[in-house]
Amino acid sequence: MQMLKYVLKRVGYSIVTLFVLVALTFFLQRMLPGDPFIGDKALPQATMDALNAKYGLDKSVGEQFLIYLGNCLHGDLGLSLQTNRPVATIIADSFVVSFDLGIRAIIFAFVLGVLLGTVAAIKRGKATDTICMFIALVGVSVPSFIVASILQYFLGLQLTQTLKGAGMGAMFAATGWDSWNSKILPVLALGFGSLAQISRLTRTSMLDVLGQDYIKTAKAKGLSQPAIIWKHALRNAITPVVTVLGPIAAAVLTGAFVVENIFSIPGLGRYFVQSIQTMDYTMISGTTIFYGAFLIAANLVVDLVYGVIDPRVKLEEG
Amino acid sequence: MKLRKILAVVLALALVCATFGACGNDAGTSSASGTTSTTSETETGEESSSEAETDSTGDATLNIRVGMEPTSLNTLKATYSQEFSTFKHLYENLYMLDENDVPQPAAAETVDVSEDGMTYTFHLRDDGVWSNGDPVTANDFAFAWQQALDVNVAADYAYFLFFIKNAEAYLNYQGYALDPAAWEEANPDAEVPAEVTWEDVGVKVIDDLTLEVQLENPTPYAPFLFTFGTLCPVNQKFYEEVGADNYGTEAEYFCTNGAYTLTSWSHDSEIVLQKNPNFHGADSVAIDTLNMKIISDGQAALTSFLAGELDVTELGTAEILKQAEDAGYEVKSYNDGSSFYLMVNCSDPQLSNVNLRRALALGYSKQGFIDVAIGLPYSPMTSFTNPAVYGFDDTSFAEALIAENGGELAPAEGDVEAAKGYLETALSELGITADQLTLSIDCGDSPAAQTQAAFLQNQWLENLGIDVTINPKVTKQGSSDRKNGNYQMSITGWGPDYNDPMTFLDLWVSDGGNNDTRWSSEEYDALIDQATVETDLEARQKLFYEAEKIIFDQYMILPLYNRTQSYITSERVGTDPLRSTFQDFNYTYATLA
Repeated sequence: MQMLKYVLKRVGYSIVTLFVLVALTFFLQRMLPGDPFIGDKALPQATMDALNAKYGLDKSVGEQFLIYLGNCLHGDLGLSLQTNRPVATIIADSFVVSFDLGIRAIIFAFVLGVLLGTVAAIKRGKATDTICMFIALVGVSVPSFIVASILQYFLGLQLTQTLKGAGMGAMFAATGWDSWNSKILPVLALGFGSLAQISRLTRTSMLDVLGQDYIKTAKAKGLSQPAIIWKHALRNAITPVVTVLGPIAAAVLTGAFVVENIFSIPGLGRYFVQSIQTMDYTMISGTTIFYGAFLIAANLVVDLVYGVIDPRVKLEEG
Repeated sequence: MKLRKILAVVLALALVCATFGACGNDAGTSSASGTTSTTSETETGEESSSEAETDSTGDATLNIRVGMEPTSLNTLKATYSQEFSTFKHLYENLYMLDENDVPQPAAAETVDVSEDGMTYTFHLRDDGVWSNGDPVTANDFAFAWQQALDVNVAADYAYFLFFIKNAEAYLNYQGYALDPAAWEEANPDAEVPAEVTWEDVGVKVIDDLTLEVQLENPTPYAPFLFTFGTLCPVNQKFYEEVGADNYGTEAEYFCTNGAYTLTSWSHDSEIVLQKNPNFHGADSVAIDTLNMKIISDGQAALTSFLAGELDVTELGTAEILKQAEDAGYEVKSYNDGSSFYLMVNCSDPQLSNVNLRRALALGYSKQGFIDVAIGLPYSPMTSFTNPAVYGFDDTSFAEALIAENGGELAPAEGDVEAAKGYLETALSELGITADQLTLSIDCGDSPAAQTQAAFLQNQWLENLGIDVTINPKVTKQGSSDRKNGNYQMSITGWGPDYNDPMTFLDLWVSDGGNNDTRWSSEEYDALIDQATVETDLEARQKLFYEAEKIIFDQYMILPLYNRTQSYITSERVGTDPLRSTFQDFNYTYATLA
């Protein structure tokens, strides 16, 4: 009951947030200098008028907003001013790709990040620790577009050319998102930063847990180290990691634009950026609303999952 | 343990080294907005993968690159050159351009042109067939053009049909009829346009295979206009079946009559064209499959090419060009017909002074601009009409002009001494000193565009002591500021729509829709009006010479450069694809090695 009340309350907040977002986006984009239909070549006035009428831009902004809001409620985000395709279709098509890329990157970052962090914590102060934390440091400090360029250059290009010289096929594709070997480098590039973040957090949290009395007790009872780590330490140490997983997932799923551009992956990121440059109003609103709703939902899910992992968390306080 | 430390060091070094080397992002050198061609990037690369297509069934396949997801592959709506190039593979117009960009009858087997050049009668070939099996008929063209001129379709390039009799009046009347009250409010002084129906437009279907077209004016370049993408035929039955909004937006919404059919379109990723075995000219088409890979980033495209995933790619920046040369590829190039310049707002209180404009125009080196600010093999702009455009005798109009003039209209290196003289006159006319001038340059917001503006800023400061400011603007803002006169000088460009000097020179007529200079001259208008109706082509060319000389006397534009597209092809390509000013790319002529 309490749970249900909590969820309802959060959903209520979410809807209000989303409404504010829709309104702000809608009115702010109209303040952008320029006109979506003024391009490099002049159009006859009759054509301009017809275009404005077609997309409802001849009405007052207030009226347009009400119509847009009404359409949104039906799940209709309108037609892209740029390509004339339905915005909802474009988002659906391209987000599938971004999601595929993002999820792979998160899984990679989470599994390897927790592993590195744990190993570093256990081997605290030793060379292994230094190496793990050095990797993490690099990951935190080097932006993804540099990692992406490096991977593409050395593994996508140089290695391929070398292998080809030896009469073999490419191990990694340099661009694209279709065959299995095109999906490795972008995932590494996109996930590396998160991996670093997760491993550092895991290490800190793990060190904290390993110093606790109950771990000493477990050791004293004669449990093997793997059992202590796996069963007792990790479960507690991982809680803060799960907390950041929400923001990380959100960042990775919405922030893949640069990596997508370098590897020429047909994801949603480019629309988020390009629609503003081309003044594609419906596309700007569509992507913003979608990302907004996605972030809100992601945070909600994390809050709920958090309660499951750590029963001490009382939901209504959240 | 030692090994791990070494590994760590190696990794660190690798990262540091690569940080310096590998992260060149393509900023797009051309950056000036104008022109029909691609986006702000210069390239519409295409490439084909040299990856041994072992899995294919022995088909001749090329992987070619396009620089952006098409905004539209609906022939009525397309506006980008790569889209029109794609149509040249998919559709056959009444005329098509041959290898030399000369229009030749295509879907029409023969064409009768009346003596006054005002009536074209097309006799269609009887073996033209749509990809759904329907025969190609005269109505397919008439229907397409009626749609293009339908104000509800809102075709951006409807005005490409304005050379047809009453086409413009037909469109304008619809604009009025759409909402007479609003129209009268917006045009209080204008006369209400007379009613024009489709029957009044000069397009008549005589029978299934005969189409008669009457022109508004004698138009020497009319055959060229018939090749244009907006005039591609549309299968009426199919169009109405799938609906206007769907037509040409997904692979299943294409019905084509050209050398290729579009078999798949995964948006933002790849468009696949397959050779059409039912096309009457299929025997001469060598490439069976064209995979058009959509790669917007120029650096990504080059990397993909070098990794063997593509067969052709454009080299849009000096950095990318150098990488291709370093990799040992022979760089090929063609003039894409686009010219770039600073457009000047002549209604500005200072810039309305012609001597100031002359001083600015001669006060910098165009060659220096290209060498320093661009670094690609472009050529300085020494006539307004691009040298790729032909005059009356099918040779370069610009070269004929320069020969007639006894030299370039504007020196490539500028002329600082003359500029100083003009500046002195201008300042005394304006009654101010050089440091009281407040001038600014609008440019694109990319680093490359700002470099270009900075070069001019530096030249004018050094040569003339004039300090100008730079306003970077996003493309859309730049366009609308020019339109609204909210600028002083703006870097932009123009690309030819058809192979005739008129495509450049009619820009600056007083009521020209693209004349954002706010410059106006009765003499110039009269020259263009005369050229519009002049049927003696040599006399017409002389009129154009005069118009050019006025531009280089009045300087409502400050000339910069003519663009050249550079590209490389892989060893898999035998006969190169046709790369030309008016076709951008055409693979119907290409072969495998």
